[in-house]
Amino acid sequence: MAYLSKILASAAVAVTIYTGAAVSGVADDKPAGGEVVTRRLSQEQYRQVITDLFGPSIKVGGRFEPDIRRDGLLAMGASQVSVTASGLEEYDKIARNIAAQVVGEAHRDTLIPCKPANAKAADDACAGQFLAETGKMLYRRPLTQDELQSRVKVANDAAVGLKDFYSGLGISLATMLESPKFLFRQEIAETDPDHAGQFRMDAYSKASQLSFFLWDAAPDPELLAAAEHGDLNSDSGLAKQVDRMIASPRIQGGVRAFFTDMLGFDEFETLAKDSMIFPKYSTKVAKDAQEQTLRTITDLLVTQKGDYRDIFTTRKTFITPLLASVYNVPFVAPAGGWAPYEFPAGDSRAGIVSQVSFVALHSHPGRSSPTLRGKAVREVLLCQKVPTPPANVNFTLVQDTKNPQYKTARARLGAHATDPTCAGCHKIMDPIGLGLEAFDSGGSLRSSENGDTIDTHGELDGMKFTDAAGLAQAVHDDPAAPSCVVSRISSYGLGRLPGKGEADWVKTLQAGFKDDGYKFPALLRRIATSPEFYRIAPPQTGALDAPSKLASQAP
Amino acid sequence: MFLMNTSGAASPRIRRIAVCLTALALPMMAASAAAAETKSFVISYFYDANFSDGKTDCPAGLNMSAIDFYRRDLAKAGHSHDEIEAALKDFPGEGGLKQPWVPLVVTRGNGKDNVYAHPETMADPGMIEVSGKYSYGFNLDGKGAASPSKFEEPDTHEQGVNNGLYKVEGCIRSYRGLPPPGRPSLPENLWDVLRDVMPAWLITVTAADGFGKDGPVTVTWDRALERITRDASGAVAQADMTYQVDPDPRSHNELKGQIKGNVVTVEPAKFNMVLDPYLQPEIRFEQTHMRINIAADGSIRGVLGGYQPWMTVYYGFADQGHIKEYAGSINLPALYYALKRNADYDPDPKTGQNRQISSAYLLEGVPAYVIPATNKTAAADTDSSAKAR
Repeated sequence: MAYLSKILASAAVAVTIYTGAAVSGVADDKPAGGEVVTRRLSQEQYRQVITDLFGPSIKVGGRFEPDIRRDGLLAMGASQVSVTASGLEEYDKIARNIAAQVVGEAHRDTLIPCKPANAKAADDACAGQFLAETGKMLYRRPLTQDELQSRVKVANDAAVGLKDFYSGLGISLATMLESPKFLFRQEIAETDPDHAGQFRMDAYSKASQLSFFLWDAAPDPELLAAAEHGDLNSDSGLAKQVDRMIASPRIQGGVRAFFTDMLGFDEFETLAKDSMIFPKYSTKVAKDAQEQTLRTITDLLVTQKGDYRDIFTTRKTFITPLLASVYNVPFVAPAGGWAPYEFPAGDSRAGIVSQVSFVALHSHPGRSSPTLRGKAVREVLLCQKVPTPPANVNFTLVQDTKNPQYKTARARLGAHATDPTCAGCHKIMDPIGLGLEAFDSGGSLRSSENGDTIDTHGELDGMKFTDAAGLAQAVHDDPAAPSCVVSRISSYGLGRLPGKGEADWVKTLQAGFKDDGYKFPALLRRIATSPEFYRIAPPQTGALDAPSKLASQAP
Repeated sequence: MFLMNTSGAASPRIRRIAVCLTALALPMMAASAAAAETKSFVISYFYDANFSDGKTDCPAGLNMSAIDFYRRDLAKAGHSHDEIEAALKDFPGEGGLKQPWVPLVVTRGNGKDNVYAHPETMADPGMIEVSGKYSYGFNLDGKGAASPSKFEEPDTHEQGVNNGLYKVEGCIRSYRGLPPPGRPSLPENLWDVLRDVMPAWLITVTAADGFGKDGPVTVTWDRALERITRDASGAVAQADMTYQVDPDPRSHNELKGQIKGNVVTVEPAKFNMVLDPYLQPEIRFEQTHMRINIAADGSIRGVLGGYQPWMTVYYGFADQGHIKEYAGSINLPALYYALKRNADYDPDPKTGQNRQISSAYLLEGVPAYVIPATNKTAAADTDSSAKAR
């Protein structure tokens, strides 16, 4: 265990395996690519891999290591995390539990492609077949001969000791499930034969890059086969796979994963509301609210192939009876589930910013927050950095919602902003968030606060509006919004911020997004078919040997 | 479709409705009154209206707890002290019918018949009844201060309030609503369990001249196809949920009445709502009275009263036999005799025994959308949930 922990911790450091010729020749005029990243699978990705491989009847229990948000995305945090000792224990428990289910009597006949000659003894052939097939899907590449032999040996040794083939197989499977080769997506670089002096991901790394980007899942057999045959190294072969994956219903999973990350929905796990003040807001509402936004987005972007900017203004959405109660609209859904719903023209609900998921997430437990909401519009939707407040700010005035002198948030913030140390930042956030003041912290519509009528006029970088729908239109019309999503999804796919050498590539993507009418699938295709998406910076001198040795030691 | 809502939260939509109604009415403005408005509610709580101030209601004390009246009743039935104590050694214990005390108390009348199904196999064990001044409810018999009932309504100060059910129940520990208008613990608990599995109860008030002025109203009570959804507090129903009206006419009531200020009252009428055997199979009133106060936040509190068959009330208790007795400290044969004794309406032409007892229930509700049944799946869902219970 200690050894494995050491290996896993080491894997958190970017492990790059460079293969092929040494760096030589003269670099051509292509961008040099970015540093390699090694990303820990997210909980959702881990679960998806297990479901894809073994089916939904295999339950994944346990507590995963928490993800970390960096530069606005968990996907970038995933390349900067390690595995703690306690986290490794959890991975071990999860792995053993999954393995036990897979080799258990209820599943072995369907999940193990062969039967041992003797169920009470080791069986090289059957163990080898299962571990080779399963290992390929878990490691997202074929196992090397050494890797396979070592896994078969583990299975055989355990089978002999336990006098049970399946128990031995389960132990071997568990070691694969807690291997860094499964838990971490390791990029392997190779020289790019088409561009002298440059490196690119090898075909299997490309396959993973592509699959996790588009589907938030590990490569399927067809993609692995394309990698094996070298198809991903040709423009046409890559495009064929990209088009196949974008045409698949599974693209919805990838789009949902990206927006779940971009919109910070993981923060719902710790979001609390005062149920005495907001009795309609519950954990079920929170869950439905996230789903509503994701359905709104995927329907518009993927199913309808609409304009990305319209996610900020569309009145078409999906709701449940519970959400309908928060939106205060009559609604009966088939079997109590989801159904399409369209807010009428003129309604204050327009686009995702006025949905419960946004206004509730960016509020305090007991009151709304124009500041947090304005900050979120800037940082999440427009990719603009808002400075953090000084440590010695006195928030008393803003927090005192019962102050008879300042009955509304606008009044309180106005008083607060008379402090010049506060005013600078508040003026770039509050005028945005005040447009959403018709929605309380629980997401419900309101017209007054403490008896005073709520004024929802505001401004976004010179675009003035009178209500939430006006704000929605302002965000829609802000060129920063589509540029932001291009930057975000580029970073999301790369697992890092684009480097200086990739700035032109991002600009090209942004221009292309506009040319494509802001169609999101077209943006995904542009990224996924870009050589830049797979390009890796040349290694620094002396960086070639050590990681290779490390990788060869890993189980 | 009926629409509702008084809360300021939904005012834009309400305004839209008002605008639409106004627009429709414009050509007829000279001849018509203000547009009718409708508000609908789902009931969060419904419980016995027992005014328990802890001072004047039960000056003679409270009724015995179960283990005490079991000892007394079993001794009267001829069981020896040792036999009784041996049976009650682990009272109430676990294991249901296998508990040694269960068969003894179930047959404590004549030693063989179920005393809950045949309470008259046992002599009246006696029940301490309410003798206080106040009771929620209504002057059902119209006799006012001249009524044999001496109760005064604590909120309206109406004299001669008839509430025989409260008189019977009010000194049973688990049926005391402390402090007024508190929910008695056992009825609250039963409703709390029941409302998650039974169809919701709906009230719709249509004010002919709108809610801004006094005037005639029509009040409908219905059952929904859906159950309530609890809000984040877990205590009350989520406001503004949508409910479909169960077309079953057994639970459809249309009452005429008045609104004065924010208080809705109805003219006496017959009333029937299917409830659930877990609590009581149905609420069936004659001379139904109702008073509902619509609060500024859109919620309602109110009282529903009338005469109802006391045997139905009794079997609502007796359905669970010894469980209800020990859980609620309710001596069921004593309850039977007390209900019979306090029945005050509808005498049997042959025996003269009144067949109905004056009663009142308190209710609490929140705004809801109430629409005609449109979705069969929802009904099936409700049915399956009920079966699961």
